[in-house]
Amino acid sequence: MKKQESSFYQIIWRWHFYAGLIFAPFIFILAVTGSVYLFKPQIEQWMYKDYYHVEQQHHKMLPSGQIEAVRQQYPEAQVTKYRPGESSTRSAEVKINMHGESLTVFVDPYTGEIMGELNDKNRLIDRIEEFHGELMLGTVGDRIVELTACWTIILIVTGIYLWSPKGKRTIAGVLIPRFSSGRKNLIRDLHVVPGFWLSAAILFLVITGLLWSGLWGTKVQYFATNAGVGYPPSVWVGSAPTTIVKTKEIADVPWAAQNLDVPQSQLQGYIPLSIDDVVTITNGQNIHPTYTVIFPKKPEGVYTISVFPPRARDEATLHIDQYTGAILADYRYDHYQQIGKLMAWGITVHKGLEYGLPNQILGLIVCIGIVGLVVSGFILWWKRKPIGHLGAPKSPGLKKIKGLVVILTLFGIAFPLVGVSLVFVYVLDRFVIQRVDRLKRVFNA
Amino acid sequence: MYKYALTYSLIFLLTACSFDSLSEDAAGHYKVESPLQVDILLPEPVLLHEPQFLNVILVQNGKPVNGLDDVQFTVWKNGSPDSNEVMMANRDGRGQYYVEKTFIEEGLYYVKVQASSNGSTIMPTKQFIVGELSEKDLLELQKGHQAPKQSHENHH
Repeated sequence: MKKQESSFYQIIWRWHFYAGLIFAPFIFILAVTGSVYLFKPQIEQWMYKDYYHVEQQHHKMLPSGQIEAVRQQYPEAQVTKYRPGESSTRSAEVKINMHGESLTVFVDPYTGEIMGELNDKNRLIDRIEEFHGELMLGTVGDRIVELTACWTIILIVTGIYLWSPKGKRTIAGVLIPRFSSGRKNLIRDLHVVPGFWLSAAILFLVITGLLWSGLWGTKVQYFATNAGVGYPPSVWVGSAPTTIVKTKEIADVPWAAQNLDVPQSQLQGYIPLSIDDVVTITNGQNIHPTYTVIFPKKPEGVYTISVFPPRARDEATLHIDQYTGAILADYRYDHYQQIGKLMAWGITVHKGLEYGLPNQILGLIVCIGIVGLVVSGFILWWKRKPIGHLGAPKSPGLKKIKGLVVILTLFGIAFPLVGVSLVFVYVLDRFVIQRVDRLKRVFNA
Repeated sequence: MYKYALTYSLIFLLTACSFDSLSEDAAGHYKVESPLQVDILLPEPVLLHEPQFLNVILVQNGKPVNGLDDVQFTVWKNGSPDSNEVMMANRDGRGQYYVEKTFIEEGLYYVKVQASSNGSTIMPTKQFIVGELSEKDLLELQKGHQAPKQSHENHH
C-alpha cells in the first residue's frame, strides 16, 4: 500500500515535472504579455492622447459630415466602422479599409479636422494582445496557447497534489515558506507555497482565457449558445440577422451604381439609412457611449452596434436594419443567460477591467507570481538535476496507474488538444524513447 | 482501457460536430425582438401634375398597426435639400397611412417615413423616379447614394 502511494506520488511528480519543463516558456510569455495588456487603457490613453483629446465647442458636426471629411482625405478607402466618442472632449474614430489595411482615423467632431491616423497593425497593445493570444503565429500559435492553458490546469492539479501536506500538520512549508531551514527548503517553499496561494487565481485566468481559444473556446461558445445558457447568437458565435426588407425592394444603389446600365425601375426602392439616423436611433436606446457602429458589408447586411465597456453589465450588441432602421436584435448583458453572464464577467475580470485599478493590480500580482513560479520551478529543477538525465522520477508504466489513465482520458476528451498531446507523448514514449537507450536514460523512462 | 478510450473519443467526435454551428432555434432561447415592419407603396409610375397617394403599411407581430398618430412623411427632390416637405400621414384604420402629393417636376425623389410603436422606431427611405431621370440625376447616382438631407446641419 505504502509503495503504491509513493509510486503514485512519483508519477504525479513526473507529470508536473515534464509539463512544467515544456510549457514554462509559454506560461512565462503569457504572464509577461498579460501583465502589460492589463494596463491597456492607461497605456493607450497616454500613447494616443494627441489623437484622443479635442477641445469642446458648441456644436458637433453630424456623423455623416465627419465621415465625409475622412472620405475626402482617403477617397479610395472603404469606411467600415464609426465610433462617435464617449465624451465632449473625445475625438470620433472612423475605421477605414485601404488597400487591404485597416486604419483608424481620428476626427475632431466639432471641426471635421483629421487629427491623425493609426495603422491597426502598428498598434502596440494589439500586437501584445496578438502575442498573448497566439504568439503572433496565427492558428498554430492559438493552438499552442490553448494547449499551454490546458496543461497549466494539469500543472495546477498535480501541483496541489504535490503540495498537499502528507501526515504532518504544520503551516511552515505549506502555508508559509520556511525561511530558516536551509537554502534547499527555501527554494522549494518559494515555488510550492506561492503556487498554492495563486492556484485558484491562475485557474480562473486559464479558464476565462480559454474562452477565447480557437478550438475549445469556440466549441464551448457554440454549445452554450445552442443550449440556451450562454450568449445570444451573434454576440460571440453565430452571424447577425439579415434585413427584413426583401431584396427585390432594395434600390440598386449604391451597391450596384458603378455602371448604370440597370433599368430605371431597379433604381426605385429602399435605400440604406444614413449614419446620422443610425446614430440617432442608437442614442435613443440607452447604450453605453463607447459604442462602435459597424457598417453593413452586403445589401442584405445590417448595421451592428457593438459596445464592450469595462463592466460586463454594460455590454450590448444591437442589429439595426440598414433600410428601415428597425432594431432586429437588442442583446444586453441582461439578455445573456446564466452561463453567458458568468463568462462575460469572467472575461472583463481577466482583462482587468471589471473592478478598475484594484482589478488591474491584482491581475499584475498574479502575473508576477506566475513569473516567479516559472523561475523558481526552473531553479528547483536545475539545482536538483543530476548529470546525464533530466532528473524526473522514474515512470512505473501505465498499467500500474489505471485510475490516472481514466482521469487523463476524460480530461483529454474535455480538452481535445490535451487528448491529442497525450496520444503524441504516449506514442513518442512507446516507440522512440523506450527504444533508444540514450533517450531512455535522459528521460528516466 | 483502450476500448473505453475509443468509445469516449467516438462520442466526443460525434458531439463535437454539433459544436461548430448554430442550431436554428438557438435565437429562440434568448430575447426576441418584434420589429416594426414597413411597406412603402407608391403608384407605378408616379405621374406628374396629378395628385398621387403615397402609402405606407405598418405591421408588427404579424398584425397591422393602427392608431399611430405620429407617422410622418418627408419628401424631397434629389439635389434640392431645401425642397423638404414634411407631412403628417392620414390613417385609414387598417394599418395603412397615406399622404397626397402633386409632383410638378420630373426627377429623382426620396420619401422618408418615420413611425414609432412600442419603443420601436423606424425611418426607411425609398427612392423613386417621377417621369424620366435627368443626366444630372444619373451622374449623382453614379457617385453613389446621396444621404438624405436633414433640415438642421448641426445637432449634438
